[in-house]
This record gives sequence, C-alpha cells and structure tokens, in this order.
Amino acid sequence: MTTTRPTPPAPAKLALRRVLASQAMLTAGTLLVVMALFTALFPGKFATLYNIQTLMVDYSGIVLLGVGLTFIMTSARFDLSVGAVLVFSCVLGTQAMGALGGADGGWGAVLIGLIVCLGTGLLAGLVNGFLIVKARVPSIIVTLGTLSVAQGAAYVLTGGVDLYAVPKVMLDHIGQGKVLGLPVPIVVAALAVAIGSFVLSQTRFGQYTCATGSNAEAARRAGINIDRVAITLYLISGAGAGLAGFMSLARYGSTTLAAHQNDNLTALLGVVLGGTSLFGGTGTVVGTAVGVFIPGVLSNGLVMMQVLPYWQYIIVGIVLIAVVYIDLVKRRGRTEGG
Amino acid sequence: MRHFSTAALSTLLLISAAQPAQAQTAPKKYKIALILGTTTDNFYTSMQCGAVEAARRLGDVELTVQGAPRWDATLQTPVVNAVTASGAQAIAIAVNDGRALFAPLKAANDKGIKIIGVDTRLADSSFVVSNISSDNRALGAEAARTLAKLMGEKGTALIPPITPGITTVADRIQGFIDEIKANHKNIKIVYKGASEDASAFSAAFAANPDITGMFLIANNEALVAAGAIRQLPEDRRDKISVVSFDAAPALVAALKSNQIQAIVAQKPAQMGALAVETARKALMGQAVAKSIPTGGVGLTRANINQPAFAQYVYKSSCK
Repeated sequence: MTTTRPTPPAPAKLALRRVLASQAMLTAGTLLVVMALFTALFPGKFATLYNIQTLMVDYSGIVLLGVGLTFIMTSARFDLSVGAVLVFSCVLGTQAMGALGGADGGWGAVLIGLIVCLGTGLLAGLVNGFLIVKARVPSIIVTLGTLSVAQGAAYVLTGGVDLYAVPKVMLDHIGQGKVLGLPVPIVVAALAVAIGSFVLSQTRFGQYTCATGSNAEAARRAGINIDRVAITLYLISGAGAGLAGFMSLARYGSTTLAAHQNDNLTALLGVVLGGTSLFGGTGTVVGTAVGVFIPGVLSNGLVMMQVLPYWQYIIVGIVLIAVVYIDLVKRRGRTEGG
Repeated sequence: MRHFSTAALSTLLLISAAQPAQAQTAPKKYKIALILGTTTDNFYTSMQCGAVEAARRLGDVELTVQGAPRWDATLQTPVVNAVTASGAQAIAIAVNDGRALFAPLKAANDKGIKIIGVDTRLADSSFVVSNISSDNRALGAEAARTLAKLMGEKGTALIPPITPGITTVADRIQGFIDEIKANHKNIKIVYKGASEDASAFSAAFAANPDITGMFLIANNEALVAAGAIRQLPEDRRDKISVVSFDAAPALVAALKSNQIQAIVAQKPAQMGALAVETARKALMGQAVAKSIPTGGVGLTRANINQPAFAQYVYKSSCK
C-alpha cells in the first residue's frame, strides 16, 4: 500500500527553486566578481591555467568533504568528525600499503589502500549514524566524540610520527597524474560533485533528505524511514572523508598528521557559503563546490597581493555572517507570508 | 540584495589601496620570495628581519615574505602555488614537510624558479640549488655537552618525542643521543613516553624519579616543562637542569629567571640574509654552495646580557 505524497503547490515550488537558485547564484556571482578583480589586479598571473588548476587541486580535498557535509546539513544535522576521519583513514591506508611494498608497491597495493581508506570512512560513518539514530545522542556531540577518537587513534597507531609508505605509482599517477589533460584530483572531485548533485536533487533519497531536514516529524508521518536516511547520510559523509584521505595521501605522500585540522571548518564554510541552510531543508552540492573556492581564491589572490593571508579570515567571516543573515531574513519572510 | 558581495569587495579594495603602487619603470630587480615555516613564530620573524635587511643592503632585490599561520604542509602548499603563479624568480622556503612539499616545489622548479631550502629541507633536494640550515646534529651534540655539564656527568636525561615530519628535529635528537653515548656514558637517556602535555611530563617525572636533565626541542615545550618542574618537591626541582632550543623572548625570560638553565640559539637572521644572497647569486648565474650550514650559540644566565650573545635573542617584529 503506497501513500501518495501530496504534490507541492506550484507557487511554493517556484519559490523554493528561486530561493535555491538565488542563494547559489549570489555565491557564484561573488566568486566570479572576486576572480575578475584579481584578474584585473594581476594580469597574466592570477587567471592562468597553472594558477587556476593548482588552486582547484589544492581545494579538491575540501570539495570531497563538502559533498558529504552538504547531505548531512541538508538533513539538519552536523558532522564535525570528517577532518579527523580523513587523517585516521590516511594512517590505516598507509599501514595497509606499507605492508604491501610501501613506496615500491604496485597498483594492487594502491587498490587495497583505497579500499582501506574508504572502509575507514564508512566505518566511522556507520558508528556516527548508529549512535545518532539508535542511541539518540545529538549529532554535534556524537561527531565531536568521533573526531576525538579518530584523532587519538591516528596518534596512537603512529606514535605521533608521520608515515610515508605510499606507493610511488600512486604519487605519480594519481596525486600528480592527469586524465584528458586534467589533474586527477580535480577529476575525482568533479565526479563526486556530479554524483552527489544528481543524488541530492534528482532521486527519491535526495527528496527524503530534504524532507527530513525540513520537518523530520512530518517526514516520518509521510512514511519516510528517517532513521535509515540518517544512517545512509553518515555513510556518505564518511565515504567522502575516506576518499579525501586517499587523495591526500596521493598528493602529499604522507599521513600529514599535523594537518587537516581546519579542513572540517573550511568544508563547513564552503557548504554554508554555497547556499545550504544551517537549519536544514535546502542544499545544493554544486553550490558547495562553488562556496569552497571563495576562501581558496581569496587566499590565493592575497598571496599575490603580497599580503599575509590573514585578511582572508576577516573577509570570509563577514561573508559567512551575511549569508546566514540573508537566509534568516528569507525564512522569516516566508514564514510570515505563509 | 548583494550585501555580502559589497562587503567582500570593499574590504578587498581597501587592502588594494593600502599597497604602494609599483613603479613600472623601476630598474631590473631580482624577485625573491621567502616562504616562512610559520608566520607566528619569533624564529621566523627573525629570519624575515635578516632577509629584509639583506634585500635593503643589496638594493636590487624585490623581496616578498609569505607563509601560513600554522606549521601545516597542506596550508603551505597553496602558498607555494600562489607564489609560483605570481612570478617569483626564486623561492627560499622552510618546508613544513620534507616529502609533502616536493611536488609543488618541483612544479615551481620546472617553471624555471630557483629553489633554496632554508632551515628545513626536502628529503629529495636534487633540484634545490642550496640548502641553508643549522647543522642540527652539531646543535644536538652541543646541547648534549651543555646538559651533561649541568648534570654533573651523571643521572637521567629526558627527551620528548619527535614532531611528525620535521627533518631538523630528528637530526638534533640523533646528534644529542650520539654525543651522550660517545662521551658521557654515565648518563642514561629516557626517550619514550614524554609529550608536550604538562600532565605527561608529570607522569614521566613520577615514573623516573632520578631524572636530572631535560633536552627540549621547541620553546613551547620548554615553558610547559618549566611549569611541570615547578610542581615537583623542592629537593627534586632543584636537581633538574633544562636545555632547550631557540632564543624566543619568552624562553629567554625563563632563562633569566632560572626556570631553564641553557638555550642553544640558532641564527635565523643569518639564514634569512644568506637565503636572499644565495638566491640572488643563483639568479645571476653564479655558482652557489649546495649546502650552507649555520652555527648555534649557547646562551646561559652568565652570558645572556652581553651584547655579543644578546644579539641572538629572536625578534618579535622587524621594527
């Protein structure tokens, strides 16, 4: 017996589309204007193939984290653990590949490394999802705890010393390799964005995610298994962190234990700048991909201005507050109007 | 409604207006970029001061100084990439990770940019024209001799764990251990279980009641250790001698108040100056030494106020 979901009225649907479009469009517009400014300020330097490409590579890992976070936040939840899970997956992945030849390992070792990194991320996601859904612990607390566990485990397993047992074929062909002239990290991130965008906007699961974030109780009454949706969401986020960990190993050839501490916040920033609401219900993966590059472009341009990139934090903070404020204003308007 | 666009753009324009206009008819200058290990450490501030002074003295160097606020290879990489794109002719860099920074610097080198390692180095330095750094093994050995003297050539010395990925730290510890084993055989070394956490120091003290010496690598560790030592009973407290690296202002203050007993200071200002001079020579097509070691200076309460030694205290700013 299938209950027919009421079709949303046309005006509301149009309004929702307009909101989503305008939010992402504003962010994209801002990004383009900032890029145009830097292009004008630094002719022949900022807008070059080399610079744009390396900029995209530099932030491709954040995009991978951002895709997963977009799903999580659209469902009105949080995942603070992705940066630490990324590092933890680097550690397990490196240990696995180290056992299979280390720097001299072949593609078999690389494949095992990928499986281990993804497996680590999925396991973390499953733990997060289970604790949030079954134990009813708030997502912000569960993922804060997972962050701590993953970080601690990474240090315990390594003794606090970076591991470097990454196959050279992985460094050369994945970290520094190209597909059809495009750096592999960019291709991987683009594929993740394409798949994530399709799933969130064009599938039933995507609709369930938005419904859960918009009004969880109404979604439950409509027959959606919101618990299963939530667990799946954390698996997606964990997979994103695991994949980002694998790509980090490919780029840096190191577990980079001391790094990635800000990745979670940077990705979260990109998600919010990209138009995903902090309050759930609306989100676009493409918007996240655009949003991630605002701090990246600012940092890049500020280095060219010979300014230490501290200003980036000020500008991004201002933009973030403005974006959330606009979101609030729109929500208030819609509520009162309704 | 484009409030945040306006806010972002107006802030950018303010920054832009604050920058002095570059005279387009300026005589040819060598564009050298110095990328610091971190922009929030007195050591690198001193390095910057030395580099700026050298550029001013030479006259034909256009120096830019960049860096990230934290020691993090994934933050340093985008800085390298942006500097590469902005047209630097030479990059002098304190790499945050000897392997992780290989790819971006190789890309810069492939673009014709001369690469100089300063303070830290790439594990594979085949394309690096010169590496300027302290002889860290020698520094470690010097610290060992200083500590052994303070310990009266007997007792137990504690060493903290290695910070991940930093080549200099591993060399200093190796230099220290080798010197102790070779020439100070009555001193026992405790090398595991310690960390930068103050409570871990306390645990190490409890587990090793005969610790009479500590060899510390970074100034924040020394200050934490000094705090942990203050918690000990007076009879144990007075028996522990601490030797640390780097003459940061806070650490020098601790030295003067006898919370620590000696500092092995490096010469970051000299490194900065040498980096600029070496980069300029390389750009002029002159031969440069593949490796340029700089020395260290032992600072104690007895000599810290003498001008010849006081000059090695690290600076908080270049003004």
